[in-house]
Amino acid sequence: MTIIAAASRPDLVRRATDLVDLIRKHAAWQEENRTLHEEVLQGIADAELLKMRRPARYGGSEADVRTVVDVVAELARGDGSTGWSVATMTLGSWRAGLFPDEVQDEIFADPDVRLCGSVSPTGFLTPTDGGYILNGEWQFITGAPHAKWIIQSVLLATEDGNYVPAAAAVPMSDVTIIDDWRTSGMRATSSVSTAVKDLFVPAARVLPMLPVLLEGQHQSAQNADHQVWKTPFMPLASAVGVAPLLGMARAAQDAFFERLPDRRITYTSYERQIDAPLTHLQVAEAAVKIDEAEFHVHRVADCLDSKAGAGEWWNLQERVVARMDAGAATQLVTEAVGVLNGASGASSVYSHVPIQRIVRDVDALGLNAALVPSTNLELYGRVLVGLEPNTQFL
Amino acid sequence: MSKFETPTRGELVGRAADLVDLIRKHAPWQEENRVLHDEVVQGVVDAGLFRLRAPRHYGGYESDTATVCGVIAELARGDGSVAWCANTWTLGSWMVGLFPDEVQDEISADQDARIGNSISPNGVAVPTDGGVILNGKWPFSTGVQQSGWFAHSAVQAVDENTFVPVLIAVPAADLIIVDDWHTVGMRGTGSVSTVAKDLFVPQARVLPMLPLIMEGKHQSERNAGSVLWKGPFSPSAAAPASAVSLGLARAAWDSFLERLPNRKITYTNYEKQVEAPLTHLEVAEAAVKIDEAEFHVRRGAERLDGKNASGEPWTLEERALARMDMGAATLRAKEAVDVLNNASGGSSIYSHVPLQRIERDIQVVSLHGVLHPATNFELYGRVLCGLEPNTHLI
Repeated sequence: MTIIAAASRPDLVRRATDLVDLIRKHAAWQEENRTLHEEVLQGIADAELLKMRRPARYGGSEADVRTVVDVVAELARGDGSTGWSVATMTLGSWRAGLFPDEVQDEIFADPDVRLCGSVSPTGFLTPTDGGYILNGEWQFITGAPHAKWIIQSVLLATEDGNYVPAAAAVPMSDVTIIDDWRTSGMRATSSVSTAVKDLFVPAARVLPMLPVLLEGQHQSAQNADHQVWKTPFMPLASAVGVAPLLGMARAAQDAFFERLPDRRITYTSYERQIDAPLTHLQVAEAAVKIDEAEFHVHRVADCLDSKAGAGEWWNLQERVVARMDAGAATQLVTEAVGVLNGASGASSVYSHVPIQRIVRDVDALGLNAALVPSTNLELYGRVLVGLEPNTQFL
Repeated sequence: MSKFETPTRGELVGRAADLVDLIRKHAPWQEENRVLHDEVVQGVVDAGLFRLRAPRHYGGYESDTATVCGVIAELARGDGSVAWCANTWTLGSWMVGLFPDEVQDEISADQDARIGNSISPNGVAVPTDGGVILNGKWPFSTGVQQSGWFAHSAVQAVDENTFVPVLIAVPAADLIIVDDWHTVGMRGTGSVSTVAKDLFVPQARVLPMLPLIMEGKHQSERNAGSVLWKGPFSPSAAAPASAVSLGLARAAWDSFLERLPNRKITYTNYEKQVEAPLTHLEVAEAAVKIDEAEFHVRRGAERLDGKNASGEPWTLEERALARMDMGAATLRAKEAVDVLNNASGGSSIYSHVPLQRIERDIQVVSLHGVLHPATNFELYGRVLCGLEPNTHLI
């Protein structure tokens, strides 16, 4: 067995920062072609940034959540689609670590394996000899064309006629891709739909999700005592999923300040936009909101790390705050990017100017059901006034 | 001098929390009489909370900024006026620590001495034998009627055309009080105007501010080694004021949730306000904004405490951000109070309902020149754009 020294936190984040220029170079191409550029994928692989939440025995760095969100945010500073793709693939490899060890051996046999997955259970498993028959169709499967395996969320038919949530690990070679990813934003994520028809899935590749969601009880003996897998799924997905938005807000800030010195305000007597008090109010408002978004992202990440470190499980209020942190960060990023876009003038609508893409990307990702601010506000408010949550995705 | 243990942050914030009920009991009286109730002042004295920033030599605690902010926020949960006075007096005892040791001996003979203060230089000091003759009128002289001394900001004439800023310590009894504190909010602070008329002040009680502002040089030998008097004047003096805003927002939160179970929504079909989805959005929005206000207060405090401890110099951007944190904390706190106030119905406008007073108090606090969000946004935005700040109070 080869011993691999795990990269330190600042080192991983620095590697992501070093990729920003390369990613920005390809961002326009990626959007047009609705996929990540091969050089970008290779750069991320070379920097080992798809191994942050992979078991160490397969070469993973088992980074803490704070590192993951900082890396993802940096990649998204280059391009939101790239950040989101790495976020979902990172969650994919983490979910693989919940499966029985022999399934992990199969999945991680390829050291460069990329995983995609779904959260909404829009497929069904029916029991059969030695396993299950899987049918279903799943939307928004980010990175499906780049992935070798997929972790599909499904409903498992029980003997008493009910359904329980489960996850099925399936090789992508068994999955049909439906290329419906023609969207207003996040185009390079190639989040196509996938379909499976009457596919046999061996029993070991089906993971019951209720024990995972409720108690953190998974099927891996090797990862049993490891704190990386002692984390509830939705708070983790909230933290990692919202990180690209933080990075995109910073991208908008970078783009705005890069253009600012050369801009005036058309049809006014301001020769330099940078001298206008209105500009000062706008950049300060955006900066404050970005700092507040970072506060929320880091709060949920730090909560995940500290509770995993202390071996504490999660109560309802904490789970809801985790979702609220994601929603609040989304809201603040949307507002900050809106302010900067509003201050960017008509010259910013050309396709080669990054801020117009960033605005569309933020709007698109901000509608993700786990991130959308209004749903999370309602959920958090219900729990604050003592009502039951109105979702099981906690 | 007797040796004693300095109480911990948790202990001091806990003492403040223990005073909340007493303070709330007297809040309407304080508002009506435009002064703090003697029982409240005595309660704060007995809890030792006027010693937070007094020199250790006189039994003071020399607490860090995070502790002061924690205490002030708790007092404001009781009544914003009490917190504002406590903050003013806390700042006053810190200011006294800048004076020569013999002046401190005079002022701080009483270890719970309350020292009011002003920041705007509204007086003129003209040199004379052994000191200066002071004339001036200072509005907003918080707590002067319950103060032993006052540290007033003024300018000293060097020649006919040159004035330098000074801080002048005078016994409160030597000031003429102009009772003009008829205001819409923060009435309990008794922030009347004070007048000095041809008042002789010995030279030792006149502190030159330029060496302090430019190089951090004060006049106390005894406090030369203490980190508390090492920080830059404006950030050190100002930071805890934002904790008043935070505490007021928490007071509004307490008040809203206390009334909520018994409220319906008039002229609608909602029999219970607690069940309306609108309510859930409102309480969640307020809760998130209060957390964000707390983030700004805490970040401001930790920046100050961290730099005081390490002796690291301040960049211009950090100084601007210090003010921005105060403005942003105040803005978020006010937004939170506004949301809760708007959700409180017509029944909340009666004088005995705390929310209407809290709403008026936060409105007044947010108009304060140092806390005012818009002014701080403009200042921070100028610095972010690479322009010079447009104030010396930074």
